[in-house]
Amino acid sequence: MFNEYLISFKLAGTDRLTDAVVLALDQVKGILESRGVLLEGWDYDGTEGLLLIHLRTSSDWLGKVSAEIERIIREATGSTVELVSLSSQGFVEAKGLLPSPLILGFLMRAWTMRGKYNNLNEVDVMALLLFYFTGYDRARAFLTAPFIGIEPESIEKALRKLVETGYLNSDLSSLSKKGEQLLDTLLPKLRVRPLRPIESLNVIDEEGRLEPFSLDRLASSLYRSGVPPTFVYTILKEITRIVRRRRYISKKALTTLVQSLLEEAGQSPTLAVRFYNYVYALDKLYITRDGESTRMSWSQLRRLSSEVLGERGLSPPPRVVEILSELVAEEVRARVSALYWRLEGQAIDWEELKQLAKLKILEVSYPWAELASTPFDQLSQSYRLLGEKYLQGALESDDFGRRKELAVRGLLFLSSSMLLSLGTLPSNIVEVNLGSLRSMVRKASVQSGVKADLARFCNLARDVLHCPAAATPSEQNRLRRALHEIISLMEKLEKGFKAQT
Amino acid sequence: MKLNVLLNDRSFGLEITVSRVEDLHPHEEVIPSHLEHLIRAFKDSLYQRNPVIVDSSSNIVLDGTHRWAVMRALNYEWIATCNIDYCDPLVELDSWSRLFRPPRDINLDLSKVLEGLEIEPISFQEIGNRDLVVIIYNNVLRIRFREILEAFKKLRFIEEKLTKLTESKPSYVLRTSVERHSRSGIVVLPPRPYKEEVVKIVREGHLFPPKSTRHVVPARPMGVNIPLKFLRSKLLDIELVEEFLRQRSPLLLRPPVLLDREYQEAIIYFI
Repeated sequence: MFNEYLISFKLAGTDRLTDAVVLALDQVKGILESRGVLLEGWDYDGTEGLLLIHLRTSSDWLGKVSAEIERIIREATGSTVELVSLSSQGFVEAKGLLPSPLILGFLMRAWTMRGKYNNLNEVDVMALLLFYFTGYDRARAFLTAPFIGIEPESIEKALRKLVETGYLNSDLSSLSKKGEQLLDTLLPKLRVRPLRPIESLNVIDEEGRLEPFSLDRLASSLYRSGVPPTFVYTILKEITRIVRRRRYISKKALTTLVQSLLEEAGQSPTLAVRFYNYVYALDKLYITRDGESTRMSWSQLRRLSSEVLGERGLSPPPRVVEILSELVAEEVRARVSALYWRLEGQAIDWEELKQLAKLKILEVSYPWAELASTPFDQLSQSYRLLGEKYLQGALESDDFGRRKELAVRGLLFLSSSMLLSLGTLPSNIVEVNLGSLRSMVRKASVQSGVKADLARFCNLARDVLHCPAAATPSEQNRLRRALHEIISLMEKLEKGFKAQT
Repeated sequence: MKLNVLLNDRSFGLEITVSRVEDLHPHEEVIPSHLEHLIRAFKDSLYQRNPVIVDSSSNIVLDGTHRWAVMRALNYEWIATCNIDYCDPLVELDSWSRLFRPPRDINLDLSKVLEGLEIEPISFQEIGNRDLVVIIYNNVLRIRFREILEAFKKLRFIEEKLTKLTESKPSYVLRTSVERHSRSGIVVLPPRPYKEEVVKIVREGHLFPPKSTRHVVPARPMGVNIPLKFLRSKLLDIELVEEFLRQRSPLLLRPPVLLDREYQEAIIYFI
């Protein structure tokens, strides 16, 4: 059971302690969160040397957690650290009053939309949303209101109206059926919709390769080649206007358009060169290996990434290989885009690229690093326990944003645990892990006994991932059911994996 | 930022904001040594951590007189305040009792301490909320006074004499614990003032001695950390302060909580 607590420490002994405390707390956070304890916030009063830490953990862990924090801070800061009693028990129970950032952000946006519904004005609608998203807790609803710019008194009045109009039950403990139906209709309308992509446009390169045009990719190339952010927006807007009615555009035409726009927008011509070098980097680079140079290609980068990722004896899934290859390519592009002349050709050593891949690997697969010191079966077991703990925490959380965060974290550990059991290297991205598992189900890399359960796990996990944090009552019910089913599936899957090995 | 704190189904309104230092009025004198200590601490600080509690209609500082005096001494234009409605019955007012624990070997001549005061012995049960009494090892002596300010002046007179005689400073204890403490020392229990008396005395330009009143607000914001650089500026936009506060996350801590002292009220700690 996750509860919130505030614990306090008195620190003394060194100068510039505030910076040291920040660094120590990052260590604390990393260690505690890998054990399922959440560090929600902290406050350090440098003049008094008093550190307050807001934690979310189970009560039986609190003693151990306090001792662990004390040890880490003492070692990291070199100061004397003493646990301070905040009550006769030593700690105090705390209650976070604001919803998690995911929900608070949604509420802030919802208020700017000033939504009305039938006989409910915008404040009534917001009162209903606040009440729902603060777990039917009036105290939290009142205190959240000023944080989104609403007077708390108006929320108090609106709640009375919501009871009178039958959207809330009279004891103010939950929504009525009518209130649930309203939120099921209203919430999806308040969600942001992604910009419509330019669907029909394709980019053709000098070698005749065709790929769909991506505004995201163009934006990323502009940012990464060093174009100032204010111009990025102008260029994207202009390019969208130009290409809107076309079916094809050549890579060269696109690059030329951007280069001219950059110059017209008052940027130095050097920036146009940098953009060109960035876009064409991979076409102009050569890899030297054993004295021979060959033109850099995606297949070479994938081979290199696969080699590095495979060093722990587990097979890396194709998507993980692809992500690492992209990161390596990105590094290489960044290097050559710094040149002030138009690149014609440059060589890079295979071993140097491997070192680059190793530097980037933690961005793709943290387990790769852990496997250096922990056997994969042991790591799989600890990930499974942690994953289940997070899912349990998600079920117990009354904040939908936190529930979603904990659920996603839980699924990351569970999917990683399963991949390790199946001899595959997990990634840091839960969607990638689920894709890897799904592909194993499709390719029958797992026994039939496990296959159905694994497929079910993947489907349920996908539903959880797709469920918005600011979910409607119906979506919340489905989410809870999915989490329960995943927890019960885990036991079956564990047995299945054991039988398979 | 206006907050409504729901406590046992009753809503208590408060506003965290900034007020001009010169617009506020203290109701108690300061202890010079404590003020010096706080001034030194403030000079090292970047923030005002906790707002002072102020009555929104009279601008009287109910809690935080020393912090207000520090800001004034350091020429700050603004001070972070928590404005409340003093008339709200949820805001309680009592006084601090003084406890002296003289060493056993000291021969106390109480006639010297109470010299010139009109006293009458009473029983423990007879002590009323509006009495000024001295309790010496279970003997209760009531001291007569006409007006509340006079009672507190007499309290100061007794306190100074006892401090000198016992060679120790008093500790401040709650009315509810006086009977227990009176077995181990000398207790001076001042009367419980009325809120109207506090307002009247301040309006007449008088001050209570230090540590006279004990205001209990049902909810107290702490850790708001308003940057002192804001409070130094001549012009300060309240909207800026509100937006600054919105970056913090309030936590509700149920009493009793031991922070710099024991708090018997709910704490809204901005972390």
